[in-house]
Amino acid sequence: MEYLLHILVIAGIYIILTLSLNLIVGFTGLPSLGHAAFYCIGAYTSSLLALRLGVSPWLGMWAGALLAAASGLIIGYPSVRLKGDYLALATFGMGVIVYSIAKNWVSLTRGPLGLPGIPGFSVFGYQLSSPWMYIPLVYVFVLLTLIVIHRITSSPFGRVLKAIREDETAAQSLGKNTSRYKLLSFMVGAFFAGIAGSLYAHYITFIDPSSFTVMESITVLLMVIFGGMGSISGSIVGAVILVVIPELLRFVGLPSSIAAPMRQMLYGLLLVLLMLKRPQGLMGTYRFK
Amino acid sequence: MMEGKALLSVRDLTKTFGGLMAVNCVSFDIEKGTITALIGPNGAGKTTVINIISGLLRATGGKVVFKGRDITNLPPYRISHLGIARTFQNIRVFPQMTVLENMLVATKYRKGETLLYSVIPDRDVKVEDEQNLKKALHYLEFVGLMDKKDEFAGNLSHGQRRLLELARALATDADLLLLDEPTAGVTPRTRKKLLQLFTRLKNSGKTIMIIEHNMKVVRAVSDRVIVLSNGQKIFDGPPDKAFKDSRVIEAYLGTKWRYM
Ligand SMILES: Nc1ncnc2c1ncn2[C@@H]1O[C@H](COP(=O)(O)OP(=O)(O)OP(=O)(O)O)[C@@H](O)[C@H]1O
Ligand SMILES: [Mg+2]
Repeated sequence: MEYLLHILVIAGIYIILTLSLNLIVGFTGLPSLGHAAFYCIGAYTSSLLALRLGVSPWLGMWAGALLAAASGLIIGYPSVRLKGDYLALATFGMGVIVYSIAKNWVSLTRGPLGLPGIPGFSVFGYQLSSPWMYIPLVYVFVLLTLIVIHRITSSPFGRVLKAIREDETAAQSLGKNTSRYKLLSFMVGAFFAGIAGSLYAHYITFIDPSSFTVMESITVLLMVIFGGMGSISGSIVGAVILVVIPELLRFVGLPSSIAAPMRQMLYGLLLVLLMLKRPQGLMGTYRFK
Repeated sequence: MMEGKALLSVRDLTKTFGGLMAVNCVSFDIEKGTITALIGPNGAGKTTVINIISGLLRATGGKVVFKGRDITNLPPYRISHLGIARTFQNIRVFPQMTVLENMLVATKYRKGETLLYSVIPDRDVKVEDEQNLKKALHYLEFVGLMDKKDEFAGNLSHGQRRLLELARALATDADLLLLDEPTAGVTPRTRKKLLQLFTRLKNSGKTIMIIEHNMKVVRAVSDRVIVLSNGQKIFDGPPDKAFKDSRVIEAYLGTKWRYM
């Protein structure tokens, strides 16, 4: 039971990550291969603030989200002018850089040793410590992300994002400052990834760089594509399915030494099947051009 | 001031691509409320001129003045805000958005398109939304695409896309429309309809510059013709004179003779 609840918490965190990446990739059409960087920044910022300065996770989380958004601005500013594949490479580079910093700035992050003993969230002085206590917390933030992303994408602002995805040149000549829109989309996505990172860190209580590799970015991207680019319900479905399926492997009794590598293979297999049978994703309508 | 009267003044406009001189010292003025045809053989530099005026390409030299303001090399969105809209030779509608959404993207929002007010509900945004919806529907009605408003733009026929592009340009409230081959590849019926629309727009005070290969269309709608050849302006005057001008005939000879 405890284990099931744990899966549910993790699924919630991935829903936030997937929704936030979908805003960038699915709605705005910006290829991003570095989403784990923002997740990492959120996680490390609020963990370090808590461990070094005793800052409450409630505050640290916003600091992490804002710092993630600010990094989105810094890396996005020069990058949003790049087209397609080049932008993908730039975001990939960003993922590598942030991972390397987490791994090599040992005096700050303890490098590969990671940060143990991260305090959990507390409510009215009571420290949350088990999965069932984290479920309401995490799902409040899932709901918040859902509402914000839904509002953004169904607003005139979101319509411009979609227009950029469809044809940036046309959007420009219709009076839209597309670089600005792309940058904002990138920053909002980064912000929510930062929140997800903080939730993860204070829930798990231990982080190390290995949770924030490029493979992690790819996994979240798979969730977006799996559920459907530009589909909000798709992001929820995509995240939940891709979190739960590998756990089923363990459930049927495979030892984790086999289950772990199987997970990546399974993702690959699912993706190939999906692209053959339903390229727009489970819930999506939008197709690659 | 000589630029005082013209809505648009182009002076010594030059564009090179590597060694190629696509536009070579081209100057012209466009008066308000007129239709000017920009013609010339393939590769003459017509599209390049429009790309520079609309800000999609940077000029190598020369300047563009609109409503008395130097707009040379401003970003496209600023040029659009000042009142210039364009359509594209190779149609650029937003295929996976509905016809109505295509129109709404073109309308102006002060608040509704800001990030903050996309999240926070606001009365002003509601008002903007209603006004823009009205405008979008008005121009859809104008081009006769009302019954297609909920269709994906990608599902429209070629001619319907041309109409949508025109309607979308109008929804920006532009005073000057730069139309790049708006009747290319459309059926005779749609062509006739487009011609009527151009005339109606002119009568309502809009200014149009149209790139066109079909000389019947040029004769039917334009007040004035500018002919480009190899990046240079070789003629500028009334349509009936254009087709008698020896330099124009020479430019078209052999290559595009059939258009005459
Ligand atoms: N982006 C570009 N890079 C390099 N060369 C270009 C570019 N755009 C146009 N050219 C070249 O500049 C010249 C003028 O092209 P342009 O598209 O303006 O011609 P056009 O008069 O519109 O012709 P058409 O009637 O075929 O549309 C051509 O030789 C073309 O190959
Ligand atoms: Mg052309």
